[in-house]
Amino acid sequence: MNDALPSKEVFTHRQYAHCESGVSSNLIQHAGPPVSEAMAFGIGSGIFFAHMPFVKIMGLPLTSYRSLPTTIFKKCCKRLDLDYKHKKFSSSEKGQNFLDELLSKKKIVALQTNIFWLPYMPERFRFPFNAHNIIVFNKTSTGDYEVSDPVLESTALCPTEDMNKARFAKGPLSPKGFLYYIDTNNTVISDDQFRKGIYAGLKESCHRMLYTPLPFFGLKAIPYLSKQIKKWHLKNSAKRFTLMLTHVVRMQEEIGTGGAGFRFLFARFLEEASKYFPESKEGETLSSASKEFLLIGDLWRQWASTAVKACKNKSSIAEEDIDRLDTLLHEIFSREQAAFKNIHLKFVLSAKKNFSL
Amino acid sequence: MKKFVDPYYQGQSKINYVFDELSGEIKKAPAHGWEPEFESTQRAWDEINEDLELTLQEIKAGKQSPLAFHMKKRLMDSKLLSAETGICHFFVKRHLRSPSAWNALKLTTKNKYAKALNIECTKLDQVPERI
Repeated sequence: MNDALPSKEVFTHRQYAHCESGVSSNLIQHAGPPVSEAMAFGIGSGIFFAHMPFVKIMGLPLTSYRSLPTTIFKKCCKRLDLDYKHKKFSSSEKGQNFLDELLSKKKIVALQTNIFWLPYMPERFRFPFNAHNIIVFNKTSTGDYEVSDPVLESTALCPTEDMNKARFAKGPLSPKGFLYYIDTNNTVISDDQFRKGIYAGLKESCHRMLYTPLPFFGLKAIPYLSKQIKKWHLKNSAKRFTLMLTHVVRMQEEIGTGGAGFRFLFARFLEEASKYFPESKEGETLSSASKEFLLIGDLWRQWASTAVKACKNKSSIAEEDIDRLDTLLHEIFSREQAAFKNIHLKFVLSAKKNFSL
Repeated sequence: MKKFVDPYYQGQSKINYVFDELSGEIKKAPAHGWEPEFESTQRAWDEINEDLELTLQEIKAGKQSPLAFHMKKRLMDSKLLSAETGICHFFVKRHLRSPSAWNALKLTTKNKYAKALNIECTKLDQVPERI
């Protein structure tokens, strides 16, 4: 980048656990306010659980530990009162021209891409997943984009052709060249605004986790997943069953989740959020909930390692392993339910009145 | 206990959030892999490679066209390939399973496939001996 520019113009790459909240945090921090990854994740109501047997990724049912892609950034910006712009395109030429124009104006732009077509990623972690978020901050004279991928340690280069392919990949959740950026610079967010954001984020998270009517979404999906696992065991060969079960573990651990399907990241958010409510019952609720989510995260990890151990033998699955997985999932369910109910009762319902949000 | 290092991270690290007992706070920490994560990813790749091997055998036996190998190599399925090329799903399936239909294709159609699979058109007809 140009050395003559003032320091604010230079983009600093920071590595984070999760692509979308990392991108949101990097974008917002470039614009001014210090919003960490965990805060972006929590205020954007990132935490979720869903098991959807009718959506297939590579022929396997989808299990998700987070909310829909791109909603974290949008909600986080709305709740913190930041101006953002976003755009989709009908063709790759239009998308590329618009991006190049923004970059020539020295804007920092975030893109939704398909991770499979990004050449700088290690081959092992590339699979057709359409909602990987990255930041582009410069185009070199040779036509390569300089990319800051929050999952990686350092910035990388990506040729224009590959970038177009990644931005305009088809399939479920196809990005259609989706790009977004923050328009204002040096905004200041007051503590009051942060409190409002935390309140709105947690309110939505609690509602979605506890009261979504369908069995596929929210906490109810955890016992549902457990039921499905038993069903897979009865209906499929041991080989297919191990593939399906390890796929759930992959969704939890491999895709940048910060460990245990975002539960550790959420615990960090609760810890940071509690500092905005000092010396109050609400703040105490949040910090104790943070400790509880650490324990829940440990349970998720225990579940993952039990599942993988059970799948070591591809030809036969022990009956007691299935029972162990079932009890673990039900324990996770009851603890998460208690934790979210606690946040709902002792934080969401009382914070509005006590802090005039 | 020896610390597990995922060889496929290629020396890079990921970020995990862990509880730091010194400060009593949850902090970002570089992670170099975790055994269950490694094993589950390995399981998924084993499955893909097995499938590729099987496809290669079927291509040699004349039961599938070379297109099937290149499609599976890019982890696609026929529906996704149809969406990427804009060719009707019925015909994509036909081009996949019948070598004669594949060989009779016009160059323009083959070019569409080549563009979607990010490969040179001339290489579409060849498959390697082993994966």
